[in-house]
Amino acid sequence: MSKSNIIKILIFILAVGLNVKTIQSLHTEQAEISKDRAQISKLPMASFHKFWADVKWMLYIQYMGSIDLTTEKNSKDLYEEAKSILALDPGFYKVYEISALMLSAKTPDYAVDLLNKGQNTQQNKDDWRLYQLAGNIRHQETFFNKKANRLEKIQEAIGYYREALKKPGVMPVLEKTYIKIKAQEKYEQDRNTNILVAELQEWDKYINEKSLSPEYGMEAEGDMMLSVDEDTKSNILALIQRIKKEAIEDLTGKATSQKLLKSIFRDIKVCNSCYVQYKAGEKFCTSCSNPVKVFGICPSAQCGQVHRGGKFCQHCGTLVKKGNPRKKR
Amino acid sequence: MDEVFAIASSLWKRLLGVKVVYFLTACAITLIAITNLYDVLMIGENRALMVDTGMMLVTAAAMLTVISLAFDIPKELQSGVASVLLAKPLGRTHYLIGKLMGISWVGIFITGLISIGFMVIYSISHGAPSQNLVKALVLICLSVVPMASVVLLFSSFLNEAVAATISTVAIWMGYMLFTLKGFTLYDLSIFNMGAEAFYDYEISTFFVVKAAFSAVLTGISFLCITSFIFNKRDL
Repeated sequence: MSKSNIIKILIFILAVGLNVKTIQSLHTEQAEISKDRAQISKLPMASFHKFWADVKWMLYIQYMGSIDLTTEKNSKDLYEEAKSILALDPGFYKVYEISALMLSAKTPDYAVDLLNKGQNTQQNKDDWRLYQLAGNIRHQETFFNKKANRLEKIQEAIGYYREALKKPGVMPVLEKTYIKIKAQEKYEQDRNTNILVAELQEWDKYINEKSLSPEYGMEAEGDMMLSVDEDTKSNILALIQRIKKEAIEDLTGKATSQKLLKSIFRDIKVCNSCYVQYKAGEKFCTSCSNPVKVFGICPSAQCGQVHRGGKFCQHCGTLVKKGNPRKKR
Repeated sequence: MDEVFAIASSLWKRLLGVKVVYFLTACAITLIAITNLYDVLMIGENRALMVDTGMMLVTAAAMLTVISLAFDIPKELQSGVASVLLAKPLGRTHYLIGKLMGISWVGIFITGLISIGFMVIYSISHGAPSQNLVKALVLICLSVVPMASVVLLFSSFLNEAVAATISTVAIWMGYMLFTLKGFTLYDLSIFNMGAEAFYDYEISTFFVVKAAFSAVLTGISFLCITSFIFNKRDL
């Protein structure tokens, strides 16, 4: 064998050895960069998997548009087609969302299965909408699927909503749905439960949990009032008012209402009779005409007018607040 | 070394002197721009279509460019041009190195041209492209080297049609070789980071450098085999 051939063989062995190590290290890095890579179809499509997923997506939309009514059969086709797109691009969010919506009516199990797959992808695992949609589908089954085990479906929906609430950017309105369905679960377990009281109890439990847990993204440090937004507050107050009207005898409802009024509504004044909020200077409740404890009046005997807040009365300049000590946090 | 550069630049001039190359490049860039009109058909996913079409066309351009080598070498061998060249004080290995370098330059130039066009269109439609998108395009441009090495090997001992067909299959299957877990002469899947770039997963610069290193190593290892076979050939 000539000298040049020996050199070539040596260079070849060295290059191949180094290349094997480099390729292996690049594979490891690729797996770290994207966990979804392992889920991609092994079909020999060069590097065109994602492009083909787009083409199939367009065809899928056309197919969906051609369907007048979803049936068991075309639902199965839609499900299989959605899976084949996701095998090419597991991160394709729209496929999970739109397919689940299409499949939810006839074949909710297929829809939830697709959403579960989406929740296991790196790209979508933190997308609260996939969990909310799965929860909605399970919840919807309790109304439309007569054969379904209601409690089982409710509990499944609760699980999805709970996960959704832990995700970043979740819409606060989902809390309301979560609490309502939690109350529904209680009602399913014990039909004697007052659903309004159960809802209020769930709010109490949830807000308490939220104020203590950094998992929910709030750092309220145990202060229930600070962990609730204004919209939720008005929902809860409306609930307390309904309980006062519709479940006046319920002691649990009364106790929970009082507890919440003292914690999350400590910064507002409500009528003792109907729990409707009243403003500074008002002597009677505008909702039930019950006399209320007046606040926000200038302490000066000559003035006695309603002041807008601040340290001094805007009408006579009397000192109104003497350094209201606030709870140190 | 001058002979190697002479062969490489001759191939460069010949291929880039063909006007249809620029016409096809313009067509590719136009196609990328057209994807922006698919907003309704894609239910708002036209950005995905643009990125994926862009990546696909750059890869296809790389493939087509290197496949031209499968026609070039057998043609030179048949017409006797190669024999004349090799009659000069020029080693057969130098001839192969020149061809590999030349086709790699052309491939990188054409893919680079489409990539730049793609990035300009992307910037106009969706704002500045992310660094990861640029890196993914650089990786595709780098994949020209291992692709060219594969074509060089087959074109050194097969006729035009067979070399082109087998090279195309070998390149196509090269993206599936990750299943061999690195125990392979070449693996094109390491240059495919389009999906990661689209989802804006972080692709490190070191990853690109390592991929470039692997491209060079693939080129060297294929060159050794090709040279061994080519030297045995009776021209």
